[in-house]
Amino acid sequence: MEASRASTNDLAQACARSADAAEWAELLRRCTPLVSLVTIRVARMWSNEASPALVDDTVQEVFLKLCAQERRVLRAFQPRGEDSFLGLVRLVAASVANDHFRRLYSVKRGGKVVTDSLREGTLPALPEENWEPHRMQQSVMLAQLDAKMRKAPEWVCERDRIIFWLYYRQGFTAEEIAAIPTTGLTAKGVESALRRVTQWVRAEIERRRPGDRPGLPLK
Amino acid sequence: MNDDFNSDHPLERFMSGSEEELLRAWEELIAAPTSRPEELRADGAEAPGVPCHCPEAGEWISIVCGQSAEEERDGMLAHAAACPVCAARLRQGMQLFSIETTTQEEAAMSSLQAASPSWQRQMAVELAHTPRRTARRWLVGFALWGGAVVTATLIVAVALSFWWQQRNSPERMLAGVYSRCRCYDLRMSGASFSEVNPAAHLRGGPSDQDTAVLMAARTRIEDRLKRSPNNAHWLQLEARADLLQEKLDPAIAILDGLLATGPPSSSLLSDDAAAYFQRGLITGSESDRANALDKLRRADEITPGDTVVLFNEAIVQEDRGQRMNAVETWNRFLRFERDPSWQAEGRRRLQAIERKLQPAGK
Repeated sequence: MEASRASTNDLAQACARSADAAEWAELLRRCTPLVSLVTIRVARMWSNEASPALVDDTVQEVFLKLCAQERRVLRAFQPRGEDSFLGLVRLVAASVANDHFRRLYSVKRGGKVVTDSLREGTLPALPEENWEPHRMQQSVMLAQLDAKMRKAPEWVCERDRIIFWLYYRQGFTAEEIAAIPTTGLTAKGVESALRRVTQWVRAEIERRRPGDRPGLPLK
Repeated sequence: MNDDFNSDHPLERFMSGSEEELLRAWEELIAAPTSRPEELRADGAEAPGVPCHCPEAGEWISIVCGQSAEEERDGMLAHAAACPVCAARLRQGMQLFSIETTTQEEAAMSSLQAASPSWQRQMAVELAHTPRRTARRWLVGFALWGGAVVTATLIVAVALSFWWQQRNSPERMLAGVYSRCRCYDLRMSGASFSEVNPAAHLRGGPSDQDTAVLMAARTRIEDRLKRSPNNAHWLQLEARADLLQEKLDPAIAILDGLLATGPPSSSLLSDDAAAYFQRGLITGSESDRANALDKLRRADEITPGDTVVLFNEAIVQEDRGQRMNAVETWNRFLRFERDPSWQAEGRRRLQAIERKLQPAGK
């Protein structure tokens, strides 16, 4: 097999059983930039102080992970499209790097990472320095809007409520929201959900305005 | 004063905000969604005012990698929808797999040792020598498993075949015929218990009571004897078939011939004795019955604990008037016999002799 001409998928499958350093060198040449990039990004999410040496160690760990248990990951790899192996490598790199830094920072903190239960009931309070009247008023109003949505799960389901706030409060685009794993919507689907929620909230507010004719909420 | 203070307090005023104010805030939100929050602080610490129980960076990476449980993931997304810092982390996590690189990232990548060809060559050699499952090893494993499966199948097949042959051997078939229709008092080797059925006596000729099994056994025996006419085993089985059909003269002829030519076995002697005894009963020949007892004694000497021999010997002894000897033989029989039905018959016959031995009037 001529390593330089083989596709990455074929090369990965060959390396599952190969002891040929030339084939491995070619696979590393193609995968190392990707593994390094993902590792650097994971390292940055954990700490901006991650040294190049630490990143190098993590890159090495990613490749060793591919070869663990008699190269189980490589043996189990089934191509699902052109260069799908690179997609697998990205995932393995993120997962291994994440575990690596989780262990590292767990030791630095002196033990196991303890994650408290999330407070998801209300929108967070504004930071104290932002307690200017207008922003404070806006914060309170948004909390009221959120409460309205929560009280009508038959009109605004939890997924749509999350989509609404990610879009309007956190500045996510419809494409970004659709890209969140397991959202299960396309960008158009996200836009449709947003339209549904905004129409319902507007109708709900107007229905409660004094002097206005009550109207049915829109679905 | 307190009232004044309360009414002027911005929070109080906002909390009691009218629907008009709510609509205004709503329109403001829709018209200009919140601009993207500030970048996370470089050291990853929480931004000011953010609750300390926000998930750590690794949790968001797990979500992006699809490694979180559904319930946990939904809770975290709901949290990110309300928390600007976590929303920023989620966005950062989603960019993990983006192909586009910043100049900062490119600089960081080029500063790594992993980017150098020498590091990659050295790593390639190291990885090429990691343990691997070779095709030969796979073949060996397959051959071992395959061999084991074939061997196990063969063993099961041989065992089943052996069991089938044993179950359907002419010897077992004849014993089965005897057990289904016990036509005389003496026992046949290998047959299970059944009560004597005198009506089943065939008196030497074919009858309706010749079972299909008996005929099948005969056919197989004769078939074997065609191939090896002098085989002692098949000749003895032919004699047993004759005995079951009460063709006693041919049975005695065969068995006497076998005893004359070969070493006497307990089984041969017992069958011969049964043939003589039956003929003696039918013809009233004292000589045949005495001959039967003589053969059973010899069989008893060869295999002293054989319950078939002891059972038959006790019956013939009683017939010959040797009641004391019969009592002793029945007692020996009861010591060795394990089958409860045969034991019961032996005990019944013993008690009958003992009653006869008791003085009259007692």
